[in-house]
Amino acid sequence: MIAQALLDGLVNGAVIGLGAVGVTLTYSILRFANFAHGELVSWGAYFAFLLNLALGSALLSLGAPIGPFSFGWSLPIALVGAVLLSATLALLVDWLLFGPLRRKGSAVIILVMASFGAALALRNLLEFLFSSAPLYFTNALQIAMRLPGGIRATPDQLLAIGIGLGLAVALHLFLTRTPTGRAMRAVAENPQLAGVAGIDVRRIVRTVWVLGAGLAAVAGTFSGLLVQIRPQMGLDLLLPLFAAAILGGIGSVPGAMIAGLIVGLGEAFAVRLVGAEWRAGVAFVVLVAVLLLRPQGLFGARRAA
Amino acid sequence: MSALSVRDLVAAYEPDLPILRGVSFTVHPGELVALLGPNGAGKSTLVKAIAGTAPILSGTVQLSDVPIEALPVHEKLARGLGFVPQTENVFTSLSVGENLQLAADRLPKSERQKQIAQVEARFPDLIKHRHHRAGALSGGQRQMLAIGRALIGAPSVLMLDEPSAGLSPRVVGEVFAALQTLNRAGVTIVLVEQNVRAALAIASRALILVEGRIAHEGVPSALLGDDTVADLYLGRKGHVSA
Repeated sequence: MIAQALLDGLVNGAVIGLGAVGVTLTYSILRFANFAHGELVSWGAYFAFLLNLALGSALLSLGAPIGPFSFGWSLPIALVGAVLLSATLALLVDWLLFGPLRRKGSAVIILVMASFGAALALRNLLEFLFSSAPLYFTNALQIAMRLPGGIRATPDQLLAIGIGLGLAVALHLFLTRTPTGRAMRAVAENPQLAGVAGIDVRRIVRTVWVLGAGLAAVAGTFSGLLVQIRPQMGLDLLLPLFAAAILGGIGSVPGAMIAGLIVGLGEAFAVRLVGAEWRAGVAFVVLVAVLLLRPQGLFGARRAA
Repeated sequence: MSALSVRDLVAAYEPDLPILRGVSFTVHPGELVALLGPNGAGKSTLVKAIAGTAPILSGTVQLSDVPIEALPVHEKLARGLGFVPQTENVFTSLSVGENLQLAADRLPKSERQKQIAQVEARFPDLIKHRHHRAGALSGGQRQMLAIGRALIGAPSVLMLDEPSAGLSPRVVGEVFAALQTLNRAGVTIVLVEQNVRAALAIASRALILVEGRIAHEGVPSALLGDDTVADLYLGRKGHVSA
């Protein structure tokens, strides 16, 4: 029982973690809470769905399942396309909305409100285009494997955990070992000094959108693969994403991933122990508890307001 | 050729409240020019406007006779303008090594290590702190790191905004000695300072900014010799040290 909740939590947590990493990056570098991040997750899932459908119909062999997984090669290819399209969407929203506000020197609250507006528009556009009926990558049933300890898991679930952790490690190495990563950390700490130190801050802002939206697309695709695709999926993920980003410490990529897993585990155990209707409350409790007890999060540096 | 030439510069954070009201001056290669003046005269705004971190309303800024006022901040750096802001001038969450590496990243690969090694040779104290967070450095070490960071890429003009702020007199001495050594090695320096005595001791020329305009200009001995100027703007200390 407990082992199974552990696995369910890790699977769910991997998706939350990927989204939370995007939230923490945009929050620390763009300096506002982007409430439209959930919609990047939804749009990523829909982009992947459409590309997967198109590829699978065009070339039937691409739709044939790879090994033990429920999907064919069309999905990984579609995922790459979805990452690129989501990144383009994020850059477009920044160009139309956040960029002009930043140049005007708008207050943070204006940016946050604008992100609410963007979220609403993007979500309703999805509903308009695809209706609110759920979509599925595949209708095939996948048989769960028996793992030691009486745990059951589908290969897709294990892949989600693996990809989630792999991407978090890769991003952490990117931030700590590469010139662009160093520049991103510098902009997060002090954008004005970053410019004086020779960093093209606008390029870093674009990089952050591309990375955040790309990770959101991966999270959305896995969420769609493991559960279903709905226009509301991003909205439902928003609270867990923010809870994880804040629990991990704003700006900390490993923190966001680990906190994503913690929130995912919390949700899974809440479902087992107190009932499924309490699941959504877990992220809220985590968020309030962190803000009250340790506002800088598990791995965040204490910052002056 | 001038190293830095500023013409009729008007800068303001609020369009109807100009802080600089038409500043013009020229810095020649190899000079160490001190920018002095009472509090609120616009000294910091002047170097910030030149560096691109304060908004310019009108006027021109030329670096080695090339206009740079419309360039983004990082482009000015690429053209050879080094700037050390007064506060928060190092990335405290990054290591000392990363602070230098960051500034070197924009250079061609073959240049990076060479430039960092040159800065470390100049400020050997930074070497043993290479892996420490810059936030853990003392005030003087931070200032050395900030100057070192600005020197990467061998700028043609180095501007510093009150490098003595918040430092003990002994450390101020070390920082100014370092600036003098740099200047003797050929680096053109523009130095904003409240510490008039220390600044005039190493400056080749000084500008006195009053209410957003250059009110006086001259070599330190001439300015200190002018009783009105010395009394009004340089303070008794400056006068005594002449």
